[in-house]
Amino acid sequence: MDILTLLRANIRRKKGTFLGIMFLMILVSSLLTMLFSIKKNVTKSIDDAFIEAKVADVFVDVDSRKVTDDMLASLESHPLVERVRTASALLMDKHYFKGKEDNQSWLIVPLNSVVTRKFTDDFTAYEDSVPVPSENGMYVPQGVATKSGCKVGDEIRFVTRGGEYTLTIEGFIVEPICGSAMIGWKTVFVAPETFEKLVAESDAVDDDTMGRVTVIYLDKKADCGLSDSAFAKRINLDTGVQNYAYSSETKTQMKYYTNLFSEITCSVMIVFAIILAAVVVIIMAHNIAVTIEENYTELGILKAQGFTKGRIRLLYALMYILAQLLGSVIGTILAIPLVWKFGNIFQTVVGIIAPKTIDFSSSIPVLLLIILVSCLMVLLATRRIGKVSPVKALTGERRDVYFDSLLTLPVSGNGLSMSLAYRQFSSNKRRYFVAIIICAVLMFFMLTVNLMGTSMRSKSAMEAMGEIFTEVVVRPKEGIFTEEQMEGMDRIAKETAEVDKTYFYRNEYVTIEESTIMCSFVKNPENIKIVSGRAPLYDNEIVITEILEEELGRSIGDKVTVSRRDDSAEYIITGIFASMSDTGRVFSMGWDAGKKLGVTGFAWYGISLKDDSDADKVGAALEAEYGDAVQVTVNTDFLDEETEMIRLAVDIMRYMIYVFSVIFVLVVVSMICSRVFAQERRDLGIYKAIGFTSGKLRLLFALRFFLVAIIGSAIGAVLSLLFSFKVLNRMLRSMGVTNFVAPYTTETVVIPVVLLVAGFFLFAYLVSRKVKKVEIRELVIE
Amino acid sequence: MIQNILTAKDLCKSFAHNGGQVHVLQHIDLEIREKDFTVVMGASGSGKSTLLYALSGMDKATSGQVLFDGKDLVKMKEKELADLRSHDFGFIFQQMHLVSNLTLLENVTVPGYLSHRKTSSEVKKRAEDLLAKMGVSDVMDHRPSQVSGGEQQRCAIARSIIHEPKLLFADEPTGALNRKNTTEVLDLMTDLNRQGQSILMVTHDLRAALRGNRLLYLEDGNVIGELSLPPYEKEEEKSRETQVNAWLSSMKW
Repeated sequence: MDILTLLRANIRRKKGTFLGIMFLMILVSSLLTMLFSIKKNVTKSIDDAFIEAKVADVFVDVDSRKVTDDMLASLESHPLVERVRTASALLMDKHYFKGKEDNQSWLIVPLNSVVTRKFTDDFTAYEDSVPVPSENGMYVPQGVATKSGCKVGDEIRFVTRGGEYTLTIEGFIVEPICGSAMIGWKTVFVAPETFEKLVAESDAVDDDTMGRVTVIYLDKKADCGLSDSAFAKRINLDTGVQNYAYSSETKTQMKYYTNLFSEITCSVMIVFAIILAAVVVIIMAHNIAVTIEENYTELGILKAQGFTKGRIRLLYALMYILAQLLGSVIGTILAIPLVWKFGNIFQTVVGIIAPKTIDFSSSIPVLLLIILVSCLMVLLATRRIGKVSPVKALTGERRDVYFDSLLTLPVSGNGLSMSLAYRQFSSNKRRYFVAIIICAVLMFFMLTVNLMGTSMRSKSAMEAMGEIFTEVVVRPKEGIFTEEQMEGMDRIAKETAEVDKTYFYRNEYVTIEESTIMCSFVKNPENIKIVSGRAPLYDNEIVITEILEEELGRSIGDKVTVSRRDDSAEYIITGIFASMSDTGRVFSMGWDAGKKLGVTGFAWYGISLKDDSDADKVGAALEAEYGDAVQVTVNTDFLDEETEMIRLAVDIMRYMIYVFSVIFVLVVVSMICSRVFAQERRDLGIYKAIGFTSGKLRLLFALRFFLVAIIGSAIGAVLSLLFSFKVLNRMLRSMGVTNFVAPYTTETVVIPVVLLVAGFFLFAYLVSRKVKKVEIRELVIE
Repeated sequence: MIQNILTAKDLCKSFAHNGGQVHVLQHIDLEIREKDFTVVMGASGSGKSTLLYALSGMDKATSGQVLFDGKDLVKMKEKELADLRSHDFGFIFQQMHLVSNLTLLENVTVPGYLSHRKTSSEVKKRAEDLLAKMGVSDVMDHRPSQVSGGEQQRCAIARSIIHEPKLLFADEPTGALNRKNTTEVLDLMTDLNRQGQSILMVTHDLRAALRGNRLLYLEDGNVIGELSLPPYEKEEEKSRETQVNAWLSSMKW
């Protein structure tokens, strides 16, 4: 009972601290619960959509001309295969929306039972049924709308082997396998009659190009015991089916790609929320230390009255834990409307409506862990209570104040305010230590997230991470380039403008060490961005990414076997290169090496110019010379829609982190200021007595926190220089980034510094308005 | 001709207490003369500290006027009062009230810098001279917590006059000092007054009161008695003490 009375009194007296901790916990718990819920809901929506569409464990896209009865029979008789299904699809070579060309390969399929969900026009719900589209209509996944901005009624012009067609978008559907805006290739759905017509016209053309595709769906047996990728590998080892595939994916992979963006975004924000939670714990520990200092005499009195050290520590623990518990409960409740409001924030990317249920199963254990850590911190921070001597406390005997002479600078008449502010800071560094740590942590996090955004604005940074940007792209209208075309185009480009680099390349899925991986065949392997080792200059050399190095368990100097259709050859790994293609699961080799696998030429020619304003000129020159045989595309926007979308999301994340950081700074400054104010009330009176105005004293307060913010920002910046790239490599590895590069631009650094420094300065100035209430007469003893 | 430096007219100060009003100062008319060492005495609760706050602008009077250089302190804004403190008034408190994180020298220089009357180097030089004069030059780089109470109070006196104020207010300046330190501090104040410094001191210490040349007695918020004395001379302290004691007895002290 005595504890409860004291607890009530403590809370009343330290209302500001209690409310501050509670408010911070409301922010942390609402953010955590919302993020965990959204993360889980998105994952569940993807899982459900895959189940509903009865997506197979492995699907292999094979040129229909290569599919044989023997191939299918060997798959059906395989002991690990439960079921083999096939479906016919038509390859869409390229398509145009509003005149803009997109070379991503899409598949056209007849509407089938896989499609069970069609969006209403505003994408907020599903229609009751999915009617067959009209003869000139098509359904596309929501990811297409996200990337290109198309809507119902818009027309898409496309090219197949059979010719050029235009169909109207009649609706958007859920296509779980590759409907996400994060995946380049798409499946679009047409009426069965339309499909038959398109297939017939494609089949009527007699050339080497691929028209019809057979998608082979493989389901593993229930007792298979292998992961999807191990199953795919094993099937390929036994049947060689993937050697004939132009792509092969597993269900796990596609779920991973679909969920990748929301996973990374939620994870970054969850890490931020946990950092904020750590900030709360630090503030709490600091507050306890300061309170013990302030209440030294009272603690002595309590001890003299018979309160044990344990009971006093319990008193502290109860107050802070109660604040945290209340904050957690309120925050968790507040998360409910937040999930309703933001639950489908990733729908435009994922292409599936997510449920809006609250997930307590992840947030509550994390919140309890935070509270548990807080309890431990309280126990640690209150150890000093044991050292409080009732006699010393009651007689006012305290330990000497220690001043660090190394950091002390003389108070000067010139710049009096700043030098006094520095003295106030330097003689009580411990008091501001927590603010410096918090400022450093926030600065580090803001800089790290800013670097993510900056890298996506920097062409050179993206190139260093393995992206290839070319202002002019040329593709043959049929088949591959002839050698004469390749030489001629290269010559024209170099004669017309200053060329930085040119690339002839061809990306194709091949089998390396029994796994189907994308291979980039390049004419000029010396242009590959090598991270370690060297470029694959000879016909028996390849380079692989760091991610593939890990996946294959092979490194520089090792030999690997690569198979493509009926050809197979052994290669030596000469280097590690950077590439984000296929989330980093890619390797590369030169043309001569590719010839051993039957690669006869290239289907892409990209020109990177030193001055992108020359792009139109180069495009026109190539068009004039080779316009009959090639398609020239000029694009000086170096970001494609997917990267642009990620950049936008990173920007949103940055702003959210800015807002939360500023709120935290406000609360932290208020709490520290209140403490400092209570401790320095007498000094404030003295300063007023010698002629300082309230305004000048508030300026001193603000300047102190200005110094705190400058020091904290500097520490945060150093931490960023040391660790940001490592953290980002870790965070973005799932996107294929292993060699993160970003310049520290003015914007990257200045915005967080200004936010923190101005935030600390302004909030300290605002919070210190209580200085006005300090009366000089408080100094006088009646 | 001796001039008034501060004039109080019909000065009243009341406080709200238990739903009613307590009238601490009641219609006081008073002149503080230039170069005088004025001492205000009175029993506890007589209102002497309240009078000091009101006259120095530390606290606003409920009504009446406090005129300094023709301006009414009661009507002054915070900035004007701050200017007054940094230029024309000096304060010595019973508890010294030095800023703990400044050295003794810095405690003295800061108000000097603030007044902007002298350059930084001139302020520093004057502060060092004053501290030497107060006998604390050897500890001027120490923090207040590292020196004795007497040394702190001598530093506080130096601080109060660094900007050469026209009037020095002292509230029980010897209240927290031992006998030896009390004498030293009073000697310093007496010296200052001899050099022309106007002082208004509130005290209930007879030894401190002896240093004044004009003694006022306050009772129930009214000045009920006044005693004028010649300037203090140590040799005449005994007879001065007898005279003051007799006066205080007549005031029923």
